Amino acid sequence: VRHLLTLLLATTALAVPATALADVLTFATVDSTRAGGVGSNAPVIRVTGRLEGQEAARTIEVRSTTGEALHEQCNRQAIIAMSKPGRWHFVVEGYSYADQPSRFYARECGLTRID
Amino acid sequence: VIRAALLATVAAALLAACGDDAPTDPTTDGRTPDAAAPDARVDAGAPDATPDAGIDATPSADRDRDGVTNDLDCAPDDAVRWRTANIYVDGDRDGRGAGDPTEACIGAGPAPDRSEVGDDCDDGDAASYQVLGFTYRDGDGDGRFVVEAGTLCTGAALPAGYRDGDPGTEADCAPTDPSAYRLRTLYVDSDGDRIGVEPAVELCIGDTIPAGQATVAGDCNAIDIGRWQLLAYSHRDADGDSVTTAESGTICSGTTLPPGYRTTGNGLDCAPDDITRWRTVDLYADIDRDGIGAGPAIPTCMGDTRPDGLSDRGTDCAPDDITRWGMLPYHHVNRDGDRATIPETGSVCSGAAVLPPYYVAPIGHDCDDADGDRYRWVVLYPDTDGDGVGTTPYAVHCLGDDLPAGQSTRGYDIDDGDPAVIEDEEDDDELLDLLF
Repeated sequence: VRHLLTLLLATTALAVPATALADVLTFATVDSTRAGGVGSNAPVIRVTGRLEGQEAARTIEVRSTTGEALHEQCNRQAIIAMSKPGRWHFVVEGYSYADQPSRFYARECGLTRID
Repeated sequence: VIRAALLATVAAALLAACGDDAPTDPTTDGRTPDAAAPDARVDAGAPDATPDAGIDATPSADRDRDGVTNDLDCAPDDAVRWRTANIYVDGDRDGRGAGDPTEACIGAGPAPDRSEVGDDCDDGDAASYQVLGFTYRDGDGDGRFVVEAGTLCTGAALPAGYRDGDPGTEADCAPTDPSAYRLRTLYVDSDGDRIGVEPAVELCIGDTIPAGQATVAGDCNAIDIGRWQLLAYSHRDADGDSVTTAESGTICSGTTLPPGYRTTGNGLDCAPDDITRWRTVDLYADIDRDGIGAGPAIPTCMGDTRPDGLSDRGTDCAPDDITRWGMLPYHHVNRDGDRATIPETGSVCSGAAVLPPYYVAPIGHDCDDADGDRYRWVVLYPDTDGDGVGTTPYAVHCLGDDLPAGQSTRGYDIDDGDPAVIEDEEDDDELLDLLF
């Protein structure tokens, strides 16, 4: 299984567009989350909150790169993080483009327990 | 016999009547051949043992029957002799005699050691019998002649070494030396390079040029076999570093110009007498010896190695600091010296890498880069009941290591007025439902 995961991550890394900026977004707070675009439209989650270490709140448009399953997973985890402020950090791993810093292409979402 | 005598008489009469006009054969023995009768000597039958005294005694008779009448026969009674001739002693039996002749009665020819021909110039040598004149002489046998007139007792022709007429060859300059025969203008060639030096000398030589002599003059170096001619050059490489200077002239050479002299240029040697330096390069003073110089360019004559204290680059941004020499970009800075940076882009004079307070990658996110005690943004929730968990609304604070009292990083207290109550387990169940 570990090998499969390694292969999966390597394949995913290779899939990152050359001009994209790989990054990990860590939301210290999730103030709001809105999901949309399911079905005929591309699945999107708009997460508003404060990124770790930053003062101002931002709204990030998180787009799933693997389909609706990841979209659903990310949406639920954002809601959990918002329901227990200070318990979880909502973490999104993916990439973005310099000319569209507010749009983030997620390859993985997760929750990190703070304490 | 009678008939023969009569015929002889008649013949003699006729001979007398005809005088000198009578035909004689000079190549024979001088006798008159019989016209009507065969010669008595060859006639058949032997001569009379006893001559006929009556008839044979007459002058016109031929007593010995040798074909010559008695009155003309110097030996009337000897059939093998009938004529008188001057005879010379022929000691070498070459057909020619020498000395004074003596008159003798002979027949067809003289005895083997006698000759009717005299004037043998060397009667002791059968190969030499006549004197021939010559006008050229090759006394030493080298095939070249000199004018020398004389005579020589010889055979049919002059022997080798004698010519009666111009042989058509150059006169022998050493008539008594067979190894020399021709005169040549030569020059002293001390070094053996076949080019001699003035003055010219005329030497009588043989087939080869003598050692130490040359047929051509003009050796520009009489004591060096490797140099004999002046060759032009247009460039010099005196120090042998293969880079030249423009300089023209001529130099005494061999087949080619000696080392250091060339007809084509190669660069411009800035140190013609120093093999370690040949090119001029703009260098810069490197005071701090960090490999990068600064200041105005200094044209420097050098070779493969740069002089100490100079660099071929003049971009040292800190000429007096060995740890810094080039501008490097940075994207973050930590001016207050705390544990976090703020974004800032620029370039700074650095060494191999940018040094603090400049950074390429961020360290945290300093909320106040002018205050070393605060370096982070922290989301805090007011914790009124002091149970360690606050509640919304939160606020973002610029903090250091410590949190202010009455604040918590956790904000999910369902009752912030009761320190005994923090979470609702039903909420967690809902959360599990949401996840699964």
